[in-house]
Amino acid sequence: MQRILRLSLPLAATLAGASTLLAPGSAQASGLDAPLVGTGFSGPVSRDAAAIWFNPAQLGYLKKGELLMGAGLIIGDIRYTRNYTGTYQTPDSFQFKTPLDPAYIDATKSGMQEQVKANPIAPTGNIFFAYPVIKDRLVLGAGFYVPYAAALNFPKDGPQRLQVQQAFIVSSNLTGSVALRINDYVALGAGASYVMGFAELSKLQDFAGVQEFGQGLANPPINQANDFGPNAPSEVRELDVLSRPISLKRAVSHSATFNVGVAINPTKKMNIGLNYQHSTNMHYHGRFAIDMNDSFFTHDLASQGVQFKPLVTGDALLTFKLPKRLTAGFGYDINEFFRVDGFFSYIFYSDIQNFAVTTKSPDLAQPALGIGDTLTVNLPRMWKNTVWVEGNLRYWATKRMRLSGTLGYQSPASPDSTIDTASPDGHRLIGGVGGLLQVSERVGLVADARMQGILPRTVTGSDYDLGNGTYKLFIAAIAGHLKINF
Amino acid sequence: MPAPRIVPVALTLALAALGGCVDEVTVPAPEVPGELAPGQTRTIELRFLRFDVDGFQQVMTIDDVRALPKKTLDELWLLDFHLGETLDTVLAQLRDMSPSEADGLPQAARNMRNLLNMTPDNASLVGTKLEEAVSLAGTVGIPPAKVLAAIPQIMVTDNLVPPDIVSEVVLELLVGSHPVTQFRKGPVTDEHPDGLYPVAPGSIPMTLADLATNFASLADRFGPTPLDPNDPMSPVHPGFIDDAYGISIVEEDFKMSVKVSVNALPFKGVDLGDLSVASVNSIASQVDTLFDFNDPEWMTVEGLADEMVIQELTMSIHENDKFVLGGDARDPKPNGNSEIWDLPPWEFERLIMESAARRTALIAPHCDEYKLATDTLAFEACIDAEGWTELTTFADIGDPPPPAYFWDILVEVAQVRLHDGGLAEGDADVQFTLTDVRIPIDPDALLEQIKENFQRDPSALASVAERVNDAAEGDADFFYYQPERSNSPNLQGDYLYFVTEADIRKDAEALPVREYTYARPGFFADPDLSDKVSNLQVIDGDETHEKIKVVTGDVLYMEDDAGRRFKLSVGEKPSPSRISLEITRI
Repeated sequence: MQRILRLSLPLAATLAGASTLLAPGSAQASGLDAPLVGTGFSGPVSRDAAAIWFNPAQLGYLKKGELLMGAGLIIGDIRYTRNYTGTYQTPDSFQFKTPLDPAYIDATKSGMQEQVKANPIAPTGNIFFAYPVIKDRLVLGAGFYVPYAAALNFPKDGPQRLQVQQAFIVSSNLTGSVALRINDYVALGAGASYVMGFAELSKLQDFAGVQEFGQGLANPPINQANDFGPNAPSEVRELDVLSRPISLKRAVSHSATFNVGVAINPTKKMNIGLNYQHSTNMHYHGRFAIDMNDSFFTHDLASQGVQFKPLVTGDALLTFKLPKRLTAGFGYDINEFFRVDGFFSYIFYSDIQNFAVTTKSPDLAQPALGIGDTLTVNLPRMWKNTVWVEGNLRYWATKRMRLSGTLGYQSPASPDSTIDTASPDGHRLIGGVGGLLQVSERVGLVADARMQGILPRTVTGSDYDLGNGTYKLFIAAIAGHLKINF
Repeated sequence: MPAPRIVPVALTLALAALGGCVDEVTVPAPEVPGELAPGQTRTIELRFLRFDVDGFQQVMTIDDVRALPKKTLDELWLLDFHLGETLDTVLAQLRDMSPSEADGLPQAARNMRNLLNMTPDNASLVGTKLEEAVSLAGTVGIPPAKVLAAIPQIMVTDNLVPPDIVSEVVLELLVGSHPVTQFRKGPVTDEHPDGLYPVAPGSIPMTLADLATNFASLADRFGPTPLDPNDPMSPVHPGFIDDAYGISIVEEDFKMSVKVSVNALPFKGVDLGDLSVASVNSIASQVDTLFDFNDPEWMTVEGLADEMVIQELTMSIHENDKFVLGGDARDPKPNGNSEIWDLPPWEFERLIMESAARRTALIAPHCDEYKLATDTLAFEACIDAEGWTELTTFADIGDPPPPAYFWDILVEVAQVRLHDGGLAEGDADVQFTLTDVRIPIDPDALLEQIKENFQRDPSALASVAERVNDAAEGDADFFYYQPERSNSPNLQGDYLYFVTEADIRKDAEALPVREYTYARPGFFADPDLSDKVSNLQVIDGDETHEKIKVVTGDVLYMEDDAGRRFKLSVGEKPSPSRISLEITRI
């Protein structure tokens, strides 16, 4: 039974893009996404109202109306031990071109650093409703659910501070579905979703990685060849003066997407489900604020046209695409007590090569450097397509109680070159248990616990040493649902 | 985009409220520093950040230049602009003026024009001693012009005094005697303790202000000026430019650029008055390494015109109020006894006398004999190597004029002719106005000269760089410095520099915002300031600042410009390029 779609990477994308605001090279959170959509019994071959999300075709086999609603809590433990493998200058200096004078090299900035961790707790919830408007033929459904949610709260001064400090992301879908039961063997379904996203985050923005900053320095009137920009080597990164606190607040996205599915029942015991979830273009509109309160930016170079206000605020637009995915599910009733099911998803994360972030503020403009009031930055992600497989064993313990166990695996999307604490990605193992108590003929209660964690991932190939180190991730989600049939 | 008022919004925002604990970036309001009370202590942190730019091109348009403070413009000497070509052009334009144009000139100017054009052929000798010589020539049937031309050995249509000689003399005497063409202001140095520098002969000092304003102040600068501005009784040079209008020497696309290699950031220091962090302009202290003179492109100028155009120029030459006679004796040698030699060099008579003398110096000693038709020698005109000119008659044809130096003869002619038209003595001050004067300029040569001058004294240009890169803020009493990393390890470290007069912040007019009133500049080991521990050690070329190397735990004492005394304790270093100072007013 498929339960939770591959949410972590979209969340990572969201965070990554948002936190990029001004500079590529800072990454974002991902790993906190263990939102429960539906119950542990939901999936692409499950016939419940949560099929609105998993496979709307399965709605076609609902005999009665169904209301499924619940709430949950996501608890995470994310740990990161940064490993400096590059060469850095002393952070309170300002050498902008390699090779560095050895006198400026910070010999202490090397090797493993103190471990940082985040223990986010985030609520989630959903509600699904489905009703057969034409018995055994046509079922309509509607649902509101939160497929993506993440929260991070790393130390503000930790080694990851240039990747992410704090983040909070949710993405909710309001979906209307329709399912057409062709016959006992085949049903078709489709849904259209309004997607609302909400994002906030903070980090230190490294101007050393900002293309415009490097160009402004290189262009007239300053004319200084420099190594700043997206490809800046570690030698010129993470300088105190160029590491500016930035926050994105109240960023809201309104988008739309759809899904289509088919349910096939070759035999009475065997179910097959196919679902296509279309990609979603996310456009987060919010406000950014960046602390430029260093005399380097506010005063010392004013005569050269470099003069920011101490606090620059303005509009921010974060855009990226949540990837499309194909899911194939399979279920088989072994006997009256046991059932096995599972799914295989192929997710087109390679759609995401960059996150585009646009900030706009008249206070950003530095005409003398050719920097206008609008800045668009791409954060390279270069993600790979991923697979997600899960298998479930269902067991009717009693006539009123049904139990479920889940094992699964997700492959990582982030390559070593772009991974960071915003998307602590890796080979993810998934496990879960759940139980359904049918209180009455119409009312059921579902409780689920689900855990996932990545195998500790040690990265040494991060571009420009931005994210080398060891990543650990563990997420637990618990949820309770009320299921009412009528 | 406004959010639709639907359930998802409410729920999402509710979730956000629950979990949205991302702190918004804010900037705290700056602390308002205040004066320390005696016994009060405050800790302050300074950073030394080096932003070493190499070949940083500082480009200034004509508008940028014009925006500089007047003091900066006036004090930035570019070159001594030689007026030779200018005077040649001006005098030629006067000389070649058409008769109809000349009719518009004042009588004295018309007379001067005639003098410039005077040849043996057109010379009117009426009223001069030469009038008799002319009559002698007539007696023997020889054209008078031929006699007059024979003495200076010229053709009858040649100028009696060539234009180049007139121009040369006007330049040397009239222009050269003006105080502004003799000295210009510059930096006070050991070699020039009065801050005065000689101007190249025949030149006027050209400043950035002249360039920026297209010589707008030309008439003021080269008008009447006391020879000694400090002496109210001083003689006054009458000047030579009465008015100059519509001068253009730079085009509107003028662009001056210099490449500098410099730490572009100011030094961070402490204003002891209120214990605030202040910025000290760092340009002046880097003047020795500011420019790479080996780079031929270290300075470029575009938009210098290839000719200076003066739409209207009024010049004047003043005559002496009385008729001063030419000499009539050989002694005293070598000039003779004319009082004209004692006149001020800017007066018309003196200019003529000098021109005539220089013309005379070109004449080889010779005698010209003039005979009657009977081949009888009638008279002889001789001039010797000293210019003494003598006419001798042999037949009974009349009395020759008395002998005199040739310049004495010419100056008489010139004086008489200057008063043609009924001008009384003293009324023949020459003033003439020329329009559309075009003086050729070699921009490349000008630029080379400017570059050579700056290379000799980069501090002049550094003052402009300091203005253009004005990063001073507040009024530091001392600042924090770290020597360049290329220095030896024992020189590396944290230094405190006490400010010098050059570090005082300048206002919009480039004037110091405060006087340098430190009674005891430097750092001391005792509260009585009797044991100075700072010195003028040379670091990175700086030898003007009282400086001291400090390490954690050091205690120093100092006094600010208001006489308040402070104790300074060096705290733990926050980072390699930062320093923490605990300052107590005592």
